[in-house]
Amino acid sequence: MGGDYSALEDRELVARAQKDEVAAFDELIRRHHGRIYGLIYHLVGNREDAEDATQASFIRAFRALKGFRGTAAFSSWMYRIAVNTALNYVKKRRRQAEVPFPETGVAPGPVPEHHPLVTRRTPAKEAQLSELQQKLNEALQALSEKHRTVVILHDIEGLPHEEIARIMGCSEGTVRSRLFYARQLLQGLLSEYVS
Amino acid sequence: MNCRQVRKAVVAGKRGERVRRHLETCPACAAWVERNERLCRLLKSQGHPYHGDHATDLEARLRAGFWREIEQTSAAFTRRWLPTLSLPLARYAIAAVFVGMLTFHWLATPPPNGTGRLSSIPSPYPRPVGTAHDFFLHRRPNGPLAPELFVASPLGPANSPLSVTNMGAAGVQPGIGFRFVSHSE
Repeated sequence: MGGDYSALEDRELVARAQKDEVAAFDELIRRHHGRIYGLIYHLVGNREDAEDATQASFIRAFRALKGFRGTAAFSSWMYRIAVNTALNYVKKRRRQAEVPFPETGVAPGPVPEHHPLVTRRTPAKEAQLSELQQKLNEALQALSEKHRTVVILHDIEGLPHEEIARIMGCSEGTVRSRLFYARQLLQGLLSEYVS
Repeated sequence: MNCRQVRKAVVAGKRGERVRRHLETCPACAAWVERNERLCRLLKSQGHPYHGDHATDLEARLRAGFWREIEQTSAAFTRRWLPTLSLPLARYAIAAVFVGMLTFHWLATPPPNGTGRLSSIPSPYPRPVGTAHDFFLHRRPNGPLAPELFVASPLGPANSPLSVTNMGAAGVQPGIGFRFVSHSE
């Protein structure tokens, strides 16, 4: 089998990929990598981790594809994998930042959640980001993982509450509550842009 | 509705009459809602966080990295797990053959009454030559043999086509088995 994969719907591509037609999965990567990368970038806060986590997400999806029954859209399923992978990256970075220095045996103290993410940037890379984007990124990283995820999925990616609830494994009420709290915080953090 | 409830309703996308009336009379909430709308526009305007060369290369890098990783992990799996997987499998196979041989030997060993254990169930139906082990080890009649399933049951009639042995008459335990029968004698 083969042909023009770009004309096929996600569902058909998934069915073909499940039958070990690897080119079909390649098309799924080509189709979804931008949104998945964008989502992960906003969750982890830097390009290097975002790229690694995006790749890791597709690898996880590829390995779990046989178990995907197609009850939800492939994009929703992929979002869920991406969110989990990204949050694992954030946790891993935080743990690495909390490891004591071998020479002194002294821990560097409590680290803010966004600290290991922003410190990986170099001045050259920083310059590439617009000031607004940088401020926004910093504000997002200041939120907790759950609040950040809800804001990104709803306000940036444009997903409805129902789908976010499915992706995050919580109720719609919880999604709305987290969104309200996150917006309150972001209004304060980005006051110079929204006032 | 108080201010908090109104703001929560706005975030949830519920703008009913009560919310509208509250916003008309509460400047603080009206300002909050305006800031909220600006924030939403700001967040929506972000879109993809990559531009220029990075965007061009990203797809190629991701796809290449993905397939390289898949190939490497498949190769690593083969290298790492195949030898260790095959070792227990070989052990299990040897153990199974050994157990099979012991069982075969035990079954083939005649009890004091002279025949193999499995063929000790008497049958009035064509003369039983014995079970498979008898056929291969002990008694190989010259005539043609027919494989036969037999059932030893207290209810079954003797000499039935299904070779149901009348257990009551034969005085044996109920059970099922497989044996060869010879019609030549």
